[in-house]
Amino acid sequence: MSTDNRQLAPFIHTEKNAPYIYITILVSLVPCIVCGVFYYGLRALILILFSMASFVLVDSFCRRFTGRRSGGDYFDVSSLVEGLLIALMLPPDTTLITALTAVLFASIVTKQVFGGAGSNIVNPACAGRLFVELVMPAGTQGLSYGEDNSRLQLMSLIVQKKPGALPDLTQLSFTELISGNYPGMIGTACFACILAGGLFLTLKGTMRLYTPITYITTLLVLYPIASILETRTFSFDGMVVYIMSSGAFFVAVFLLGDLTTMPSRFAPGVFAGVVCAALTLITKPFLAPMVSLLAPVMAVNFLSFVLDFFSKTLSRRKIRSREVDVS
Amino acid sequence: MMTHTQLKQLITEAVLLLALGIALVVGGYFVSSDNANKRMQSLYQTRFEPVMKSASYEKVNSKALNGFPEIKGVYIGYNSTGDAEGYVIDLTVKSLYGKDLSMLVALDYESTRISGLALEPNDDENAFYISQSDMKKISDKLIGKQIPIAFVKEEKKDDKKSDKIIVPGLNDGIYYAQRLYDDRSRYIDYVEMEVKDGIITKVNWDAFSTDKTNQDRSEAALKGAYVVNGLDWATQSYNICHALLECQDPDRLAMKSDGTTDIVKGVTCDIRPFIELTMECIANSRANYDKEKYMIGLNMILLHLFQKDAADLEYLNDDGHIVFSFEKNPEIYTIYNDDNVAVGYMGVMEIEAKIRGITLPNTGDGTNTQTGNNDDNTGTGVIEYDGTEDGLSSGSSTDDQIFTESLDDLPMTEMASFIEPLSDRYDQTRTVVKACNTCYKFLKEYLNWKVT
Repeated sequence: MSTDNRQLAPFIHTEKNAPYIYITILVSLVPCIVCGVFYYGLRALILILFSMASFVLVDSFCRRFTGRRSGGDYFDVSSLVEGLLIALMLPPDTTLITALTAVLFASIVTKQVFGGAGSNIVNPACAGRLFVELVMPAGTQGLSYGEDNSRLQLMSLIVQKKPGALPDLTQLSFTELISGNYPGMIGTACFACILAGGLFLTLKGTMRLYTPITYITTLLVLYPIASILETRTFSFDGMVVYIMSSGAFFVAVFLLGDLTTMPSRFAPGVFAGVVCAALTLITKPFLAPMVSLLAPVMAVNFLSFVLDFFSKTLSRRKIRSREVDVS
Repeated sequence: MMTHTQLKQLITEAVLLLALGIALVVGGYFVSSDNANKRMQSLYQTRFEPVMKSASYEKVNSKALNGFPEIKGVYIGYNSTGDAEGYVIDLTVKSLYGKDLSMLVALDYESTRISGLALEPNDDENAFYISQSDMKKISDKLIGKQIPIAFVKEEKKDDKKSDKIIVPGLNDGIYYAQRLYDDRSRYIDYVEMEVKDGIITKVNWDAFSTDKTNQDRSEAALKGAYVVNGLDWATQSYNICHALLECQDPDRLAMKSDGTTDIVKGVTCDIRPFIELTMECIANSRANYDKEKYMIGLNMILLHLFQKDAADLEYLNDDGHIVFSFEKNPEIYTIYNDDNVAVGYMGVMEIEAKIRGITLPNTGDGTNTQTGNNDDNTGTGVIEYDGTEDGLSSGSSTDDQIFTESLDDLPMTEMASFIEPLSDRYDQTRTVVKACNTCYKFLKEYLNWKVT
C-alpha cells in the first residue's frame, strides 16, 4: 500500500478509490488467468480477452445510450473485472456466443439498469454466469480433459463441443486439486492460484475477509450433515474435493469478498456467509452444481442492502457510509 | 484516480503475481501430471482390457475422425517396450432398425485383423441389445478376420432362393486376363478375379498404360486426368465389379451392342473390355489356368514373337504387368474364317495352346464364346448374344437383374473376409460387422490406404 499521500486531491477521502480497488482485483486474478491459459491454451485466452473487451464495449455503449457517459479522464475498470470474472467461471469449451450472452445480461440487466458501476445490487459476473447456466445449459458443459484437451484448438469458440468423458473427481489427488490439473472452469480450478489472489487482496485491504471465511467454515461444518442427509454417508475426502473443485473457493474469494454487493459490516457479512453456504448445501442435491453455487450468492446480494440497513440503524456508532475504511 | 506511485506498485505486484502464478501452475502441473497420467492409463486399461491388453494407450487425434461421427475415440495400444500393438476403436453404430450399438473393436496394428470385440454399456432407451453369449459367438466368427467383412452365406442363400445363376465349373484361385492390344488412350485393360468355393468373390477391373510412367486408369480417373461420361471411371469400375459379384455371370449384366448397360446404376462407360476379360477369366478358371500360368503364357507369346521374354524386353511395369500391345501382330490372337475374315480372337490360354500345338479341353458352356470381328482401328472384339434382345441379359428374368447396394458403402471388391452370420441372429451379426467395416473406413482414411 502506498504511504505517499501527497499527491491525493483534498476531496479524496481514501487512497482506495474505485479504480484502485478494481485494478487490485484484476491483479489478484492474474494467477487464475495463468492457470486457465496454461491448461486450456489459446481458446481460454481468447475467451478471457473477448469477455473483457465485450463487457467494456457494452458498458460504454449503455453509458452513451443513457447519457451517463463519464468524462474522458475516467475509465471504468469494473467492466474489465466483471468480464474477466465471467470468463474465468466459464468452461474452456464455451462458444463466444455463450460468453457474449453472459456479458450482455451481466452488463445491461444487472449493472447498467441499476445505475452502472458501484450501483448494482447483485454481482454482474455472478448474474451473467448464472443466466447462461440456466438459459443455455448445453452451452456451459464444455469441459475438456486429458487427451481431449488441446491447447491450440479454437473450434470450440465457434461450435459447441460435445462434453468428453471426465474422470471421477473423487479420485483426484491432492496435488491435482491444488494445481488445478483436472477438468474445471477456466479460472476456478487452481486452489493455489485462488489462494494467492485472495492473500493479495487481503494484503491490499480490498477484500472483507469475514464473509469468505464464514462461508468456507460453514461449508466445512454443514457439509457432513448435508452429506449424511443426502447419501447417508460422509467422506472427508469427498468434502475436501467438493470445497476445492466445485468453485466454492473462487466464489468465496472473488464474489463474496466483493465490496459493492456484499454487506459492509461484520455481523451482516458473517450472516450472509452462513446463509450463502447453507443455501448452497441445501440446493446442491437438486440443482446443477454451478446453479447451486451462484444462486445463493445472488440471494445474499439481494439481502445485503437490507442487512446493512438494519445493522446501521442498530449500530451505536451511526456510521452511514459504505466507503472503504482507510487502514 | 490513482497516483503514479500506486500504479507502478500495482504493475510490479502484477508481474510478481504473474511469476508466482506461472510457478504455481507449471510446478503443480509437473508434480500432479504423473498422477493424472497413471489414473488415465489405469482407466484405459480397465476399459480396454476385454479387447486388448496393452501397457499403455494413446488417443488418436486426427482430422479423419471428423467424417466419422459414430466413432467416439480411437486409441493406439503400446506394449511395455513402446511398440504399437494395435488400435482400439470406441464407436456406436446403428442397427438395421435404427438402434444404437456401442462397442469396442480392437485391431492388430500391422495386419488390421480383428483382435477383440466387446460391447460397451449403453443405458439409452434406443440401445441395441446383444446378449453376452451371442456376442461371444459373433466374436468367435470375427476375431482373426481381416476387415472389411461381408457375409458369404447371405450371398449363397440368396443364390438358392432366387435361383441366381452361379457360373458352373469354376475352380478356386486367382485368375487374370488382360487385353492384348491397347485402346485409344494407350491403356491396356485387365481384370483380376478371385474365386472361392466356386463363387466369384473379388473382381478388379483397371487398366495400365503402355507408357510405364503414366498412372493406372483408375488413379488417373480419380485425379481427373482420365475423364468419361457420368461418374469417374474408377467409381464406374467399382460399380460394375460389384454388380458382377452380385449376379456372378457377366451375361446377366445385359451389355448392349454399343458396349453400355442400362441395368447397373452409375455405369455409363463402355463395359465391353470388362465383359470380355471377365469371360476370359471364367474360362481360365474352368481350365485351372490361374494368374501365374497366364503370365507364363503371355511371356511365351513374347518369346514366340521376339525370342525374348518380358523381363529382357523390359515390358514389365512396377506392378508386374506385361506392358505390351500386340496391335502390330493381330495374327497372333485373331481367329480367321476360311475366307480370311476375322471372326473373333483368342485368349492367352488358347494362344499358348496353339503355340504349344496342344488341344484344349472344352471348358465353356457356350455362353462365353467370343465371336465377332475386330474394329479396324482399335481392334475391339464384339461379343454376340444369340437369341437375346439388346440390353437384356440372356436366359434370365428381369427380376434377376436387381442389384443390392454395396455393403456399408464399401464395394464388394474391397471385402477382405467373408463370414456366415450367426444363425437366427442376423441383425446382431450384421450390426457388429457394420461396426467393423466402419473401423475399416476410418483406418482407410486415417492411414491413407490406397485400395486397389
